[in-house]
Amino acid sequence: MNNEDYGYDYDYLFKIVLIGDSGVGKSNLLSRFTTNEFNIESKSTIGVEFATRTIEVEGKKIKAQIWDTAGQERYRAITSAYYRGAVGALIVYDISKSGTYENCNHWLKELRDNADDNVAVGLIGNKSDLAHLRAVPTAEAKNFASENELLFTETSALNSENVDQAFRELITAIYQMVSKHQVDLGDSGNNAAAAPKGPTISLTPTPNENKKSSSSNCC
Amino acid sequence: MSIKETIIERYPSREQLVQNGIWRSELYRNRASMAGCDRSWLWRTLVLTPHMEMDVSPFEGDLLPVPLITTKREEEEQEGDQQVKPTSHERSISEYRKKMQHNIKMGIRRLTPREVVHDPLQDSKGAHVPTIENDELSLDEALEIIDLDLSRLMLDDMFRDPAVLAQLRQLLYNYLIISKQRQSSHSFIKDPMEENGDSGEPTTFRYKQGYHEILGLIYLQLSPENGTTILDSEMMRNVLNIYIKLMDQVAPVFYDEQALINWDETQFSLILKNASPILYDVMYENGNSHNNLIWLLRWTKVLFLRELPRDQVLIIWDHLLTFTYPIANYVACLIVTLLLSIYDQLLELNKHDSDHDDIIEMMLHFKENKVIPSIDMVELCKLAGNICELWYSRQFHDIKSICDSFIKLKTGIDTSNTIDPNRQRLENKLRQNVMKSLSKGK
Repeated sequence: MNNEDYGYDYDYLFKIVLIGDSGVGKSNLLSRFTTNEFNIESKSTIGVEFATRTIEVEGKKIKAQIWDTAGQERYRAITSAYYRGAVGALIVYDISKSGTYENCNHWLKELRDNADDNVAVGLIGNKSDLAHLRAVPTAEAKNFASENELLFTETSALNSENVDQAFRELITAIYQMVSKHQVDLGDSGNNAAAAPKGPTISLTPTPNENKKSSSSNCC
Repeated sequence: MSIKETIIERYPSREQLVQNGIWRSELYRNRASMAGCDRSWLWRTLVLTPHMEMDVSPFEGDLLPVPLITTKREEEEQEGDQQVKPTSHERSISEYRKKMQHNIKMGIRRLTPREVVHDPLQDSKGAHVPTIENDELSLDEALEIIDLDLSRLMLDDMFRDPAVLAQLRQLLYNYLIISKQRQSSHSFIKDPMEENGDSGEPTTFRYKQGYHEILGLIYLQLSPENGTTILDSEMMRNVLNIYIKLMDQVAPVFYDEQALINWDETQFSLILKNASPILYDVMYENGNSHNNLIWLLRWTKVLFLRELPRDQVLIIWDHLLTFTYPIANYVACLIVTLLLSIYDQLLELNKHDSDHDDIIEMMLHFKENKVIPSIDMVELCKLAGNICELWYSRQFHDIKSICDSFIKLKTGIDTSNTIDPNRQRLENKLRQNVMKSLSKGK
């Protein structure tokens, strides 16, 4: 689980944002997924941080660039830059704090307002190791996720439970959307109407030999 | 001889200490002696000595205790304790502990208001609606975030001590009241519970994550050397006054989103453009300044605390606390000097970084990656001061000259003859293509 795996060598780059209230464990989910580390004494995130990990999905190397945002920042012009180009998002709450779950609705709204329409979203109930303090029933969260067409997983960044799975599911869902989109485009003879709405989707298929090459680069 | 004795012997006045000791770097000639030195006496001398035109007189009374925000359950629990009369400090530690237990039990936290009057995401230039009102929290909301942040304050082991955390909580509470009352043009300090008569309704406050970290460093520097004893009331007042003085300039610019955007547009980016047009093009190539604000947010909010080693940060703060230049302007100049120090790295990254992400990543991981292996912070602080001076006197050509010399000294690159970086990139790519073609031909 090395952050430097594959380095500049990947097929797709997916930008994923982690959002949710302060203290729900976003930074530790990020570090658990990207470097397999957990820091029981992690600092409050100021602004934004990001880290990457490249994984293989259906034979393709996918570099996940994961942006961890400060929980207190919301409805802000600068932080909206975080959402630009995001193709996936994980809304995180703490299963032992019902307030953080209640706020998921607002995070989802913010995401819908700012991110691309096609962004794939997962709901994460983190800190599942605190089962004895559970304040959010799994069934309720699952129901909320289902109503809003979100992936759903309960995780524990502390003991690693389901963290990899949650990210992999999201990345796979994004990849499948991309593949389907490419097939659709092929079927419809590159019909522009089949293209996703919205300005951003930066699902740039990237040639292995050229990191993050963009179609706008002329040479 | 201690630093304090050295300073007293060498500098008869604060002015001389500021001019010669700090800005002419005399204090730092013996780096080893300043490296591990706590700044208690130095910072108190710099900030609290009556020397400047203060906007308001310093806070001199007793700090208000943090009021207890209770739930019914807590009220019931407290009924049995009514005959106990703890001291105010004991009360605040006990309140802190109870609050933390309450957080664990109840888990209700609303970090920001559920509704905002105006959505700043819809704003555009010229349509700015002040955001301060939208940022305000009720007292219990503010205290909840403060508790959460203080529980994650990792500046030093001393911040594990509940007694120390209770003091920090009290300092932040008092700061919030003072800043709120000054914002409302009220007198210096007044219990907010009294403000609304008998209603008991708490007023709203403006607390942002990061406030705690700035306070933490001041507290740490002013704490007794053994680091285990809590501060006495006089030292608490000193911490609060230094914090107020610093935050007077930091909070309105770096903790207000629109102000930060303005700072980027009217100060930071323009200073960078004058210092190095090439670097400016690299950093602002796609015309989207928000890309830089993503990393600048943290750099500015906690005044380099997370970006540089502690010894370097303390040197920067020594300079900031002289208040020789407006902090917003000086911070802009200082960040420019740090960018100039890695001029070659930034240009190299830009060759392949079409979406600016690599540059953002480097700037966000500046400390961990030791982007600058050995920084001469004293030199950078001095250079930033010079740029500030030239900026104010509008000697833009001179800014470029000293920055060109600095880049040449640091990287060996001569930037006095400007080459368009886009042209440079195009040339590089063409060169690469030719090389590829040639190697295929072989």
